[in-house]
Amino acid sequence: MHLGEGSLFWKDIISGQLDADRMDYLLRDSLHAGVSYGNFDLDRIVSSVCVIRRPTEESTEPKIAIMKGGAFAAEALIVARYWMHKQVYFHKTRLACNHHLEKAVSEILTEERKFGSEQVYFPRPDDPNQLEEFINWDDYRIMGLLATGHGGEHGKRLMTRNHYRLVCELEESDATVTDLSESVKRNDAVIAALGPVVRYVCQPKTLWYKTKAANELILVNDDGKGQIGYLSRYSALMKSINLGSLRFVYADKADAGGARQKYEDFLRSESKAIDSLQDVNSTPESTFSSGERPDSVQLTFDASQIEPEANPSTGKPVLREMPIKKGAKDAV
Amino acid sequence: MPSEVIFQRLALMAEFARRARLGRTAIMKLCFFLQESKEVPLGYQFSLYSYGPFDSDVLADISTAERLSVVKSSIVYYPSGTGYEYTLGPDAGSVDKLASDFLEKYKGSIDWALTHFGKKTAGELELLSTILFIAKFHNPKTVAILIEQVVLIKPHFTREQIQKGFDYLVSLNVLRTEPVHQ
Repeated sequence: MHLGEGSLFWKDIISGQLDADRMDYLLRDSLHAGVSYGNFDLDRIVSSVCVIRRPTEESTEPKIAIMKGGAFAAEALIVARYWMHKQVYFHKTRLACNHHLEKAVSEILTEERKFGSEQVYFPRPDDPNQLEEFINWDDYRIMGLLATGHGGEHGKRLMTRNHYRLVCELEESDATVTDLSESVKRNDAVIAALGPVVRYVCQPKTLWYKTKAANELILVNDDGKGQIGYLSRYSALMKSINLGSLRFVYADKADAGGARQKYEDFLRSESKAIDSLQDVNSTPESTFSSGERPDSVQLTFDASQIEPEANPSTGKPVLREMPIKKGAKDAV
Repeated sequence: MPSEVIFQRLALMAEFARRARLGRTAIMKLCFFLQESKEVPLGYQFSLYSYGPFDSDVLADISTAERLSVVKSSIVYYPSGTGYEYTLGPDAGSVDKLASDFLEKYKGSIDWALTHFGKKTAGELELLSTILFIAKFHNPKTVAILIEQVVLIKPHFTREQIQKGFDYLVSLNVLRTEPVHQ
């Protein structure tokens, strides 16, 4: 099999579902973060990896695949990536610090390096004249500058651990365009309800697994003859893991408690509205004709309309034990 | 970024796929020209990268469009290697509905981008978009300074090629001679 320099096969080795970079960083990040989510059976994967000449009828480009015997190890790698995303890469504090670091570095570059007029730019690693300067921008230099008060407001926040605090995580389902449209609308309503205390909304774009043919992992029989199909269709575990993205909503430390309370209020009113909508639809004497639904249900509760029962001698309101409905006691 | 922009970007991907057979680099550069020259509000934040102006959000949007079956990809073979090309997917109509006002409002700009940049090679797009980026964000006072700044960033292009690229952008009223950007 001859593979030219421009073949996409080479890309598959460093950037695919089963690439060398991914297998390396999951294990390394897992070790250094002190968690075990990123572990998987590397040896089994290495011994099960193979190359198929023609992944599809239309394609002549070879592709990396995995033999059936290594399917569970491949599944474990993808689950490890899922867990690492959920627990480490999308950890609430990491995302907040990432935002502060990005802003602080941008501020440092503005102080230290300008090109032409005011445009700040990072030295290019592929330009021999700038390579030395590029190498000098390492972690120690950035950390040293942060420690000596550079990096503006965000640098200061990092140094004093005064990072933004998570208010809520909003799921964005994107199984279909309609799902995405509805969940975006709902999440926009949540953010609007929280108001101006929202300082940062993070929506990581990285997906931990891609389920389209161009990126899918292909399984082949252990004898190397014949394709079984895509891993996501073969694996029940893969089918059941949600692919939707998330929005992380942040506020200042001082505002986070109040904002969380507002979010809980939003959830309560949302759930009441759903219950009320279900009640309306299930009532035989509903004012809505068959198939017709109200656009929205407004929930109001006016405490002033409820007259408390007063004690005739003191005039103070009394608490009366509510009679338990028949059958309710058994249920309890 | 307002949420409706998500659907406008997806609808733009569908429109590109409907009317041309573009790869990722071409889509990236067309989005750049639309936003930075025709002021189409796509909300991307381009910065200079190896192949000219780049924003990873464009690639993420192409990927989302593919996952939602708004576009579909196929491998294409060039003399220098292989790449992906995007055609219309079965669910493109659903994003068109969500962004119909946007498509209507910017139809002329999309036509303009496809006509003048849709058939350019990746190398030509890299050069043209870099010239516009430098002209717009680095504020060179003269054409000569602009050319020197592009040479510094893209040494594999000759001064003659850069001058020709600049002249092409002037002919489209994207840039003018002095000052080079309005």
